[in-house]
Amino acid sequence: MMAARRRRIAIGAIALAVATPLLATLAVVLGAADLSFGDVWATIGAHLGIGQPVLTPIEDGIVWQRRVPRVLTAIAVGAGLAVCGAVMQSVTRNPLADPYLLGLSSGASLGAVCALLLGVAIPLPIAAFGGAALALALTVGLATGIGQVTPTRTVLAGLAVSSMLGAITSLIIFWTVTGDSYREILGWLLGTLAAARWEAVALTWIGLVAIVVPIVLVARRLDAFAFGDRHAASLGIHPGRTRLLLLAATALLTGILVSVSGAIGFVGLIVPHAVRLLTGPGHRALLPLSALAGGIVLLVADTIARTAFEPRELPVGIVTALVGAPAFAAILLRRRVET
Amino acid sequence: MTLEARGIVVDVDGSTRILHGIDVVVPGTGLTALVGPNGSGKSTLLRQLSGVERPTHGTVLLDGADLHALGRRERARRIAVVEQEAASELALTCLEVAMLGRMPHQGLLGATSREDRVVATEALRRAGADAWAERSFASLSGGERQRVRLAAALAQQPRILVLDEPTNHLDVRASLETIALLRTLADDGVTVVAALHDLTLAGWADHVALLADGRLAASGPVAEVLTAERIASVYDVRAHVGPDPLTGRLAVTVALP
Repeated sequence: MMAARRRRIAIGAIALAVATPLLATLAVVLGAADLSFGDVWATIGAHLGIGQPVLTPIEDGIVWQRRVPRVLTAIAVGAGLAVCGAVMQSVTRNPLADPYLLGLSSGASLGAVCALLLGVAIPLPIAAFGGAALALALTVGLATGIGQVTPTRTVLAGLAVSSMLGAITSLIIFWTVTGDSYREILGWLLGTLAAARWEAVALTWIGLVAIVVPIVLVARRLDAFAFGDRHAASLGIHPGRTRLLLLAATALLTGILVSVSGAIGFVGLIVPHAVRLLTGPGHRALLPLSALAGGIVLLVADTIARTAFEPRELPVGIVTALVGAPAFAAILLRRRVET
Repeated sequence: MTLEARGIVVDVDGSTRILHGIDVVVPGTGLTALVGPNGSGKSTLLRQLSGVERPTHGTVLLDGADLHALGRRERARRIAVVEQEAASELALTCLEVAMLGRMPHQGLLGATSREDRVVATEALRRAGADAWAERSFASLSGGERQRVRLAAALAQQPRILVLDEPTNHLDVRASLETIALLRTLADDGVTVVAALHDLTLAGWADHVALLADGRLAASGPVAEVLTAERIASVYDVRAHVGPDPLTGRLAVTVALP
């Protein structure tokens, strides 16, 4: 079983790694403007100093200034959300945990809304991280206040914090926003990559590499949480400190991602569950494959959001919710059968 | 390796006192049984001895030095724990559960070596769980899980093995096999300390510590601690202690007063 599983994991990893650039190119090709795979790669090559431009300046602008950065951002955001979800599910020992359940996304949204609407003069990602960190501190503080910090208490505290911060966000929006910007802010709140440019690519990929790579490298230590904190402690791990460090890292990454894309739901929840069917529960395979699969999922979802009702565009958060909510229900039903 | 508890006091939630100042020595050789009625503090004392929790007051010494002065990984290489109940949400196979025990011996990146796999497989065999190596841990019965978790602790290659009710969920034969395995480990030089409910199984031990209401009622060689009068007073039962006609070991029979 383990040998077969290792082979499955290897095949899955290769398939995802090959599919990502293919689907990414396809995503750039799709949409208004008549492009081919060759056009896309020639254009990318030309901007990297290899070969000559093949497209008109307008088409070139669409490819290089709009679609390529958007596709790269989608991959980074999807990968980051999936890893955040997998890590949170592990350290809170709650299969339904993700950045939303612990209130991080609500906090990040609040931070971003403060920066956008109340004119708080700090950069958006930092404001969003501040919000996510505040939410984490509130969640942990509340969980600690109840007594010894347990996974269940952490999740309940996250629920309370998430409701409160969500209400404040709604209040600020309701109070300050009028006219056109209402639609814009609503779109961002629902999650959208429409505004992603090269700055977004730089921000999300730096966040992804700086935060996800170290977590993936020590992934096996997450396996120690399988039987709870005391067992982890008997294996030489400081459960409280490890959990706090990992949650802080996910807060930082969530803040960075939300500042770019808004709050995109269900990717962090669903992708790790789907990947676990292939990899089994070991985090050494789960985390990198979740990153790959999460990137593809959001890339596909964003392409659907962008092209399905052209020229109108949907917030991608609506697409992930439409697909993710039934998948979420399926997880609940499956678990009921299993346990 | 010798474990020694000095003046261990444990309060929970700031007010309820579970242990009221316990001084006890787990000798470096042999099998030590920790016995006492439900709620007497056996599990709590074991968690202090294994270093998984820190006492409110008092210290635990490992070969005379403060247990908590050791690094966590260093401690985990010396002391392995089998908790009473452990469920997992994760669909790990039994071999994967046993492999968790190798973690303190692995580098920070947790790369597994061929040796890790050999040790984990051997641990499963020793605990009588090798038949389920490839099966999902969650699919096993309570008794089977108990053996797999014992295997995970053995894979840790500890000098000290701390077990909380290792014969829970086990039928009479499996209980005897487990206690016989602990006996063998103790004879091989591992310090074994186990909380046990079954006083006749405690008769397999070399030393016994008897807890009552969070205090040490007695400790020492089995025959000295497990006397009919003491069992009668601590458990509030009528008790008879004598050699078992089948095995010759100390056997305890009890009746309601």
